[in-house]
Amino acid sequence: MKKNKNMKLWIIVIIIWVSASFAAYRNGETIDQTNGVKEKQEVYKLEERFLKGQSNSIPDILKKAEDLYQSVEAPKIGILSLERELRILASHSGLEKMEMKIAAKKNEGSDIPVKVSFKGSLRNAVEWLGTVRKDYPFIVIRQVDIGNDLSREQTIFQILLNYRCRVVSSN
Amino acid sequence: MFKTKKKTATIVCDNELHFVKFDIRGVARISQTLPLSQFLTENELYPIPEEIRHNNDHALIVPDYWLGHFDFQFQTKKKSIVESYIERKLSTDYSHSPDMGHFYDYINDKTPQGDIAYYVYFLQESRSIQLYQRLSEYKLYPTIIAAPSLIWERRLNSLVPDFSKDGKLLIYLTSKGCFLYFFFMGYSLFSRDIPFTHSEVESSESLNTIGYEINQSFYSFSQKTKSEIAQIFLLSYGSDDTHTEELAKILDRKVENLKNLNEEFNNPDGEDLGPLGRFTIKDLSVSRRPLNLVNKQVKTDLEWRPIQKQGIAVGICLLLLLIVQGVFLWEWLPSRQSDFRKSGTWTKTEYRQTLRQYNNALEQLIGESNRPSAQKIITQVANALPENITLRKMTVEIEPNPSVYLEGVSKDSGPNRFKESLTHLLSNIRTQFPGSGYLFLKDIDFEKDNKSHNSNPYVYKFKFKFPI
Repeated sequence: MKKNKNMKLWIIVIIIWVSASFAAYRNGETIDQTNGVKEKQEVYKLEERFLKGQSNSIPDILKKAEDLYQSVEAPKIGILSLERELRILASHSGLEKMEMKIAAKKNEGSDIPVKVSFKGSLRNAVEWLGTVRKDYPFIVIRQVDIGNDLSREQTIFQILLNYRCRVVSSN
Repeated sequence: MFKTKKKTATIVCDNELHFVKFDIRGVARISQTLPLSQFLTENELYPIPEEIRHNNDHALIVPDYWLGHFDFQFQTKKKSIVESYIERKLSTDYSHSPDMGHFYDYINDKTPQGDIAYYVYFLQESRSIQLYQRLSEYKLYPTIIAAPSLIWERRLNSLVPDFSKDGKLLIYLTSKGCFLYFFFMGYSLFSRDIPFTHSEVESSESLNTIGYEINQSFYSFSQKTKSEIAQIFLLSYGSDDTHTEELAKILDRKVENLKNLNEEFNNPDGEDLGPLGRFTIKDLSVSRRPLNLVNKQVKTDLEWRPIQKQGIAVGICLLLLLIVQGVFLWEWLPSRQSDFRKSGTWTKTEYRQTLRQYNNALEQLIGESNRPSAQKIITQVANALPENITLRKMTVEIEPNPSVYLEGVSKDSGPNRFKESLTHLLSNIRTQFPGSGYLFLKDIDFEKDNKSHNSNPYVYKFKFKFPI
């Protein structure tokens, strides 16, 4: 028997099995790709269905999220407007000597730290804080210091808050 | 392609070389006959028929007298040790022709003493190697090398019940001569070739000659095996019944006609092939497993052959299936993708943008709702204060580390009462602020307030901080 016949047979066996392995690998990849498309399709369908189902609530959510930032033409104008509003609110809540100043001059983000101080009763101050949280979503209370003014037996409140604003063009 | 039948054979018989092809029924048909001596010595290549030359499964059948045999006993069955011993012995005994040491085969059997007896058969005729090499020049590489006695041994093993017990004799009678095959315990022991003279062929003297030779051989058999022949079988091309009866009379022993055991022996063809005339392709098939005297490399290759063929067959089937699957996937995937695109889902990026905005908004709102409420914390602290404790300072930090700092005074009737007040305060704080963790008296910094203008001498200042 020819020795190279045996070798030829082994070479044929190897070629066939290598080809089969390669074909199996390629098919596996194609199947993965198919499954990927199928999964994507499923996900997109689910998302589409979800968006259609939530079509009423989505605008509300987006609006609420938008309200977390006050749209202003310039931050300083926003600050002035804010001071006026907080002052009126303090006045309505029975708080006195309200003062407000920007805590840091430079702020790279859209949050502007502001310090507010006033005097008054604890009840009134709590009412003021509650109203701010409820009606001014763009204000974030970061710290509240409460101390007694022993000379006049009044409570002094110092509040550090963040004013969130977003600059929008008037056009 | 995957059949293991031997389609062609080279048969050496009466100093002639027969190139044989097996027909559809598996019966041998002579394609060409050449004088052996000329084939071996002449330099020119004889025109061997194409059908023979281009066959990869070729058998070489040599006369029995080209075969040598010896036996030995070993306690091991380890192939490498046994083969090494055989090759060493053959190369010593036939040192003039080293190639002969590679053409052998063996069988083993257990002796009554518990040892293993090995029966080795090998090519002892130098012409066999010459013939092998000459055939190689014609691109004929035998996959089986055997002799009639070895093939008969296997065939009778499958035909005759209890063949592996006692001694057996097969008388193979043709018009030109007679072949005697002696078997002992199922193995070929020796054979004899009795050619008839011209006068014997023409007369009935031949049976007397056979009878005489058989009786001589009985003696030789008894000497070798220390036992007697138990059964005698006859197979002839002539009138069997007459021969059987006559031989039985001459030998004074019962002689059985082998044709009664197998109808295939009734075939009148193949007398020219002498002792091989009754063989079919089945006798050279792997299933019959005749002893094969080809060299070790060929045997190893032959052992691997079924695995290779099965590997090729299974591999091709698998490959075809995978190709079909591949074609199907290749056709199907683009259609799936185009369906996807047609449905519009693929391109509706505005959906994805809205969803992203929605997710961001939701995340922000959840963050806002989780932010601690300052007014709620202040109220909780106020609710936690016992009556005799007055706060002087309170800091509520919402960001970045939510916590409450308290500073106050307690007016009590003594240290024990102060301790009770603080314990009460801590208990209330823990109730109001479950997130405050373990807050103990040791966490509170306190001292007696000596500057107090109050008439009560037991006024204590305290301060502490806790997380929320």
